[in-house]
Amino acid sequence: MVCPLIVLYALGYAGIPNEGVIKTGLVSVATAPPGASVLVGGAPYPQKTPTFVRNLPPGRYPVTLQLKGHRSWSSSVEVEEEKATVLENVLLVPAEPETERLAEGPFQELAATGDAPFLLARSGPRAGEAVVLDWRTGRTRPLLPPGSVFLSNRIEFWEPVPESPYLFLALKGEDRRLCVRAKLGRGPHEIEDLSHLFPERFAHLQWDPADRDELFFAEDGFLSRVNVKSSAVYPKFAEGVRGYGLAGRKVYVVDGLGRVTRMDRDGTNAELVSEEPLLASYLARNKAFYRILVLDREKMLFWSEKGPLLAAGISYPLAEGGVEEVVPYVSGGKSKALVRERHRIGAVDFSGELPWLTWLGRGRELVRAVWAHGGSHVLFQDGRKVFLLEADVPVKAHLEELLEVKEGSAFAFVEETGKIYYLDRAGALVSWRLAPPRPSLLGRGAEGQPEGAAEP
Amino acid sequence: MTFRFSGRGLTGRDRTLQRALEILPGLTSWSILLGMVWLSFRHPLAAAVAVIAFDLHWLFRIFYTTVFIVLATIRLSIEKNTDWVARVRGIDRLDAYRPELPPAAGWKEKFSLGAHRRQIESLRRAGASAAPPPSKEIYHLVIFPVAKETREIFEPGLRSIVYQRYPLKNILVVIALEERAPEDVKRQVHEARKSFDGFFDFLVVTHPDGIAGEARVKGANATYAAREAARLFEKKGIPFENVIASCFDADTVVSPDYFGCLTYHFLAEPGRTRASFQPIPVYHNNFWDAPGYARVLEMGSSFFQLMEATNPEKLVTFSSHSMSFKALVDCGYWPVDMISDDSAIFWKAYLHFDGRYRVVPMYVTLSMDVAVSDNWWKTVKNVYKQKRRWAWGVENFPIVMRGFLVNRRIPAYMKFKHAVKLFEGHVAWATWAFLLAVIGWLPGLFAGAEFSNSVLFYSAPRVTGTIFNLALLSLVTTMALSLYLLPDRKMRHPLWSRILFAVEWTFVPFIATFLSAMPALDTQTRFLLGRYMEFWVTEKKR
Repeated sequence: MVCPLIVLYALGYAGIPNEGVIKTGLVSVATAPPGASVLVGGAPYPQKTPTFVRNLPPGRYPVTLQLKGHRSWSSSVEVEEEKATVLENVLLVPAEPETERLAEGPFQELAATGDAPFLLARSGPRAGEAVVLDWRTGRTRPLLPPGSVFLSNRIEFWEPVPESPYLFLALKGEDRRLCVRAKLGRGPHEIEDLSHLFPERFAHLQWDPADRDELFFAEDGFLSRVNVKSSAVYPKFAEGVRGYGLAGRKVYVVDGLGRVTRMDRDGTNAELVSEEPLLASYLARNKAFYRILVLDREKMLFWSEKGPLLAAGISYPLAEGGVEEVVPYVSGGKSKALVRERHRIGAVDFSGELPWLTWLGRGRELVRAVWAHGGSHVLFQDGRKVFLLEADVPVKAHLEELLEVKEGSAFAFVEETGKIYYLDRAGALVSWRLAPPRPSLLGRGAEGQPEGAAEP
Repeated sequence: MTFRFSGRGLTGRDRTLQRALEILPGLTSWSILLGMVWLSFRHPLAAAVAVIAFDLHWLFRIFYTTVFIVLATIRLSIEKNTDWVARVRGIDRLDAYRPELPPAAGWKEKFSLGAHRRQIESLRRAGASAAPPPSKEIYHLVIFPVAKETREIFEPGLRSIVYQRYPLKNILVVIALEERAPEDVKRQVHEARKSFDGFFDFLVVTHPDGIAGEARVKGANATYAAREAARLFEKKGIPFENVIASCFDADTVVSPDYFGCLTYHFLAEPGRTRASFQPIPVYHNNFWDAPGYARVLEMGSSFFQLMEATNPEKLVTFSSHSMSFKALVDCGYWPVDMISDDSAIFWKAYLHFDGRYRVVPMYVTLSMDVAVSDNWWKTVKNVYKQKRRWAWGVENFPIVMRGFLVNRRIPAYMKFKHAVKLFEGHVAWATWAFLLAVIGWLPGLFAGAEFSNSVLFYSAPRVTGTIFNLALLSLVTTMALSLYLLPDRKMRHPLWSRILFAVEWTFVPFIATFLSAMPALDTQTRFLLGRYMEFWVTEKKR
């Protein structure tokens, strides 16, 4: 007798006044920070978040979440019988954000350095005008040490080395491009001139995510590889290259016919990954050079600023063109990618049988978009304003305006600290706390830089 | 009823039926486990409902079990100081004895005396035909089968008989020695025989190897020794009705009251020649030398037997036990081709006497060794093999079922009760721990979008969490009882050791899965595939 009753309770059956025993649903709520009050249908629920509200007869309910010091969050939530409506990633935005001026500047430009715990800020075009912020300590120091021969060279572009304290810098020399690798740390930054390893003209530089000493670049349809540690160059190991990507110690290459092959890093053991004719025709159709983003063996995006956004497994473009930025996100078996055009942002979802692009919002002049809060939110910049958009809720997505940045600059976001970094109107470097820090990630130190190492 | 209690040498329909019934337990266990894994992947919602229903069933069963273990432990405590020999003398003069019974002093004595009064009243009502023989005419046959156990293993058991509060001149000790035993063991057995006197007799019977129709099993050795003893009793003119046979493991050490208690229960039982007598086995001989997991496991075995003792209707003999020698001879001794001779002899007698055979529980302990070996890992292997051998008791199932099919005299409901218990017991042994510790969590782990967005996905952890929290009450009770049952040996840090032992109970989920359910599933799988086991003598070291 007890057993069937408990099973029915677990399935959602409940006795509701005036309605008898009916199938009910529930709303599961988790917020960051936790501890928010929950109001369902205007009535306060005794438990704080994270929690779930049971025994709700099917219907639509207004749900409000309130936490002291934060903007309240409200939405209309549909509850179905035997179903759970999951609001697991509600990020409550601080009402009066905690800000900190980290450096006075004035700076012109700000950039993140990938997975390393540093930010770069520039007050001018020259390498000597760039500073590095260690976001673990909040301290800044010049990118190049005093007396460096590269101080007066203009920075053409920089490329962080994944999961390392290294930064690749392309500098404009008197008669040729200079290539430099900087090791960022708490001591004076070590600068290594790599110019002798590179030809005069090269493009589409990528560091190997599996080996921080290896980098690849394209040159006139050829793909070359450089090992920085051994100063070895493996020139032109693949030819007719119309795009490439790196994943799992393998190189993925698009050839002139639009075929996609996977090969070892020396060009051997090539195997055809895709010869889907429509995809191949799109890849081969225009002059664009594609970057292949490999989310896993079967999930690939082909992105070019000049061509359409394509995906393996489908024979039509996800976006026709004008995609300025693609930010992949892979975690816990879930894969997705953020797509930014000049006037709209969207997300490619790989959880279904076929990849699918959903446009999340529009803007007037979108300049940056990043994933935030474990991929559940998107931070984007429209003109000078920075917004937070929900990307993973079963209700109408909330859009929150957060702050304004200096004209011509872009914000950076560090998931580990939960802070947005930006340049204010006066060009000072400021941090703005959006979410609670994630201490498990904060303990990660740069290579050769044990936590707590003394300043020189 | 004449029924050949064996699964070997069958032909035709019997062979087919036997094989089908051999497959059934393993097939059922695997179907349950793999079926739940499949269900967890394909229909996690249905799997979660099944898990909740199973967890509830398990909770009620462990509550029920715990209540009966508590009752049995109380009874064991009550009978701890009973003077069994005095009660035996009382039964010798039954009519005069009843009015002489003194009033009880405390609640324990009151309960014990109440039970005693009911027993002698039932004996009196059974009439002259059930009148017991005088106790001085009761003889005990005690068989210690020895295969490779050394003197340090079997000698404490012999010594424990010397210390009995019961006349030794009525005890015949037989060491059943395997011919294939190492020469050193044979020499030690014969040396030991010279060290003991005062018994009715002390025989060393060597069981020849390779007798036709026998497997290399303990039952064959014990049977050979019992036949030899039967010839001696016949020669001395002692009727088999007056003899109680005890077949002990070589390491069995009996408490000083054992034979007094056994004699009392034998005399007080009106159907004494159709009965076995089951003490509570404990594993105290080397308890504190054994690793924690082995201690917990063997204490669990003692608890199981304690619980079983509270339900004599379904009680089956286990490990070292005693029985009427007349019944043993009439039903054709222990099976000579089965590993699980301890339980098989009950079923053999039950079928032979058309269901008019029972096991009488005795609230007295006998102690055996925990299967310890040279090191931690070897002990794990040793314990695993021992449990696999115990689980081989599943070999009784097909034979008993065939016996039930041909026997028309056993009431159908008794057949049904025993069949269900035998089958369910073995399947539960092989599956429950896996379901609780591993498979029960799969629906949540493999939840797809459909299940993870259901009310059940959120309710299930709360419901199962509550069930496991309630089950902790049972675990805590078990911990407390296990402390009560611990051997009294003086130790350097007794309090610390006892606390540590209580803490060891928290590892029950792992121990039950890997050293109880897994060997049982291993056994059933071998049986399913027809890969039969031979007797593996448990390595015992001190």
